[in-house]
Amino acid sequence: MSTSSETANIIENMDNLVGDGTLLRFQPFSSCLDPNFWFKVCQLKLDVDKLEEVHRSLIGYYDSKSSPFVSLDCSSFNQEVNYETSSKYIAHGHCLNKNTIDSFKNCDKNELLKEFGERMLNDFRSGKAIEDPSIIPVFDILMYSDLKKFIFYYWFAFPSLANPKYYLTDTPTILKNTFSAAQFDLLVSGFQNLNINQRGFFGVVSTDDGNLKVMTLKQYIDVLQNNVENDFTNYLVFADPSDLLNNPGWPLRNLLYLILLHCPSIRNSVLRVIALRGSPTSKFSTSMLFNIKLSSNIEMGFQPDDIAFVGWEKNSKGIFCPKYVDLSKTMDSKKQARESVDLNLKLMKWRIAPDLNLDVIAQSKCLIIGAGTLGCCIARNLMSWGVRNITFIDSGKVSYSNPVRQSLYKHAHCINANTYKATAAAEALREIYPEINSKGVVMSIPMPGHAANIDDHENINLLSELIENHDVIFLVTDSRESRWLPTMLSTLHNKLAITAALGFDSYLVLRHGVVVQDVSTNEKKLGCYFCNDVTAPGNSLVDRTLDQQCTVTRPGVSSIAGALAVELFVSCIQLKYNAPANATSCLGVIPHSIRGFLCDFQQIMPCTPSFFQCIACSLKVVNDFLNNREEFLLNVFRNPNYLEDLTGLTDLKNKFENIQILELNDSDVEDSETYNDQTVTAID
Amino acid sequence: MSMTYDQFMEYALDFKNHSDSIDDGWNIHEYKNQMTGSIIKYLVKKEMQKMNKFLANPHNSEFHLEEDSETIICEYHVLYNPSYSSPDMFFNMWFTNGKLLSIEHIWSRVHSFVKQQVNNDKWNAITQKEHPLSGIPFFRVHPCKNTHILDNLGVSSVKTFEFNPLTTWLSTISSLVGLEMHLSYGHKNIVSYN
Ligand SMILES: [Zn+2]
Repeated sequence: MSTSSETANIIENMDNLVGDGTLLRFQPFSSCLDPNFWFKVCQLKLDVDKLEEVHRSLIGYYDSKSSPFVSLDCSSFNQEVNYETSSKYIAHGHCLNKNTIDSFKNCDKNELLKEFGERMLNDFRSGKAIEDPSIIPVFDILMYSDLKKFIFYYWFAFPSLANPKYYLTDTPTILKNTFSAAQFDLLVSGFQNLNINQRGFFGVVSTDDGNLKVMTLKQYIDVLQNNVENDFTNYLVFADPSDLLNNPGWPLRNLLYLILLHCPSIRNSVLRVIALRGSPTSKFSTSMLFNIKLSSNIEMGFQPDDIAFVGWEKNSKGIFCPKYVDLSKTMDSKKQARESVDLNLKLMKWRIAPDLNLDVIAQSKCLIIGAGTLGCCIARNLMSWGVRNITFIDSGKVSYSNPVRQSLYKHAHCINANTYKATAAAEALREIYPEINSKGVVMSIPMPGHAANIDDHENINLLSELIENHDVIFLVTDSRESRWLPTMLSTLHNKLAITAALGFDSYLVLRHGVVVQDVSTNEKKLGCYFCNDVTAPGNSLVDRTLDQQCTVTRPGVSSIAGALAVELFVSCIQLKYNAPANATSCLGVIPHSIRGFLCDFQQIMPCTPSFFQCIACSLKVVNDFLNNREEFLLNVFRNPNYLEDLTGLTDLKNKFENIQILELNDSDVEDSETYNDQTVTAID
Repeated sequence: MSMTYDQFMEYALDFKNHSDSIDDGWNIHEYKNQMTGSIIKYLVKKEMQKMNKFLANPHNSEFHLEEDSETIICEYHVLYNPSYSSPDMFFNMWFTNGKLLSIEHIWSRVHSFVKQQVNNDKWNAITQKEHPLSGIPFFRVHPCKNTHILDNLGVSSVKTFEFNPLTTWLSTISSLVGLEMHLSYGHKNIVSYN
């Protein structure tokens, strides 16, 4: 910003002639841009100018309240003056938008300034600037905008004439020393009667009896030119943006030249100049009076050879060079979305939970196995928490019944039945939030008891790799069998797995997979989906009726379960995965499992340890997979009873054949007899 | 506590009249809803402030006062919030190159304004929010603070006031947003409001 100390540099040539008095120095204008100015620049460049390097007219505003700025906003591009800002003064300018950074850098700045200045001088010579004084203060902007990165290079020029030099005949005085209160009143009312274009530059004449008359600049110049009888004092008035007591602002420099150009006869006289400061309300009470004359060489500056221009704006360091502004944070919609999403989450942290670790959530790589109702719901809730990495696994395509329940799909996905859910879901996430890193893997999960596919071995490797490369696995496929392999692999890779399963009006959300350290109970692992029942996953798809295959659930059940799965993950990850059942994080208790029933709107949080004979997560199974992988898998897929035999479950079953197995050891659950895990089948 | 939109406008006009008399720069802007044609009015003030440059870097712990100061432009919008039945302060600040101050900058400013009683609550009172009329990102003093403040002032829609409650409210939150309130707002002739 321009400050008083910089003003000393404005006139480089210090040939302060003896006897001429004090060299008059003008405070230069600075530019001040509203954020919406840049929005308009972008819009015009993209929609209107395109590749043309257009010279566009602009209107800027300044005021006389100690602020040496020309302000521009989006209305600056309108050719009509904005009368809402009638308390301000107008400056006219042009903007030259360059197409490349090179043409911005390489264009000859001296030539350019000369071009700007000549255009102004033409209006001075023709007298146009006398008719419409609002074109006396001019500005030009040389600009290059990088609209991909929202970076703008710009350089303002406030062209003025380097010559002639002006001198003060005496110390400037405050106008109150000269004008009476009554004269100030006349000045204010005369000012208010002027058209807005005339308010920046005008004249007053005062008579000895205290009368005072405001006139337009043109009338004032007529008075000077006709040099009529001298029974009054005349003053040249300009609205002064300067915030320096003894230095007038930049507009006076142009005004003086215009006056002296058209009134050569007064080049020897002293000009009485009123620097109008303050506002009509304050009766311009801080206005100053300057008595100004030309240097001894009165012709200097008016000969064509003498004409030279000054006026490039200095940057904030006081150097003549272009300015640069990076507005990607406000203008890049993607960055803006990211900022807002982050801020929303940060507010939760700042206001409610100061210990909340948002980074660990954002950085988590989430794998969602099953892109159905639950998968879609989980993905959306993960995004709400600021998760940046989401991968879907699903082999299905979007069908007509899906979009109403599965929140990432639309009718268009169903047409011709050729959109894979995994890819459509990943794409939908990017449409919702472009900063997300989402992937879709089209793959079917190999299932025990289902005659092995050719692809199965490949898919097992791929699934194993995917699980290994993610931090949390959401297990939300549509059948019990399809959960087996991911459950086993999550245990193998020691990953937090969260299983959600739905019944008609009940749901189960449970976490497992990762080893936890519970010193008090010596508990190492929490029970998985399979720990709680003793039937190994056979091919349940074979003898199902249609109703059972497309399990009907109350629609709200999946939203509840999906949301709980995400919240459970968020709570759990606050303790960096090492969360024994019912441990406490900054967000509260972290249960092992949550079971809910919509029939009576009850929810319970049972905890079950890992079962040593579990067909999915027991050491026996995991080790067999590790050690005899080929043979193990072959057996699993061919023989529906293999897993039960392996873990000894078959023996167990024979022993207690007639016992109804309760899947929970919690006494609370025994009360709710309506619940039976067999009814909890995941829904597609 | 609550005030109706009509009461809000009455207070706003009175406030603006006083602003005019001391040249404080408050204006009443109108927003026309293109769908319904209804007109919403609100108070606007735009002013320049000098900010010491060291404040521009909130991460710089060194107190290093440079003589050089940076000019920033502040725009204040006082809207009526129908949900809270209270005035709602939106504001924005930017550098002369048009770049908006970040919320961290704003907080560092708040920090310097309320030196005596910096507390987390005060900081959290300011948040970023799209302007309800223009959709542009603005900063906002969370309106739940407003009702709280007005409650403390004993303002309610049925009471009669000695002072313009909008003025009292603004002077209470002005320090949060770096708004200087001329003392004469408090000293002006006492008028009765209802
Ligand atoms: Zn298990």
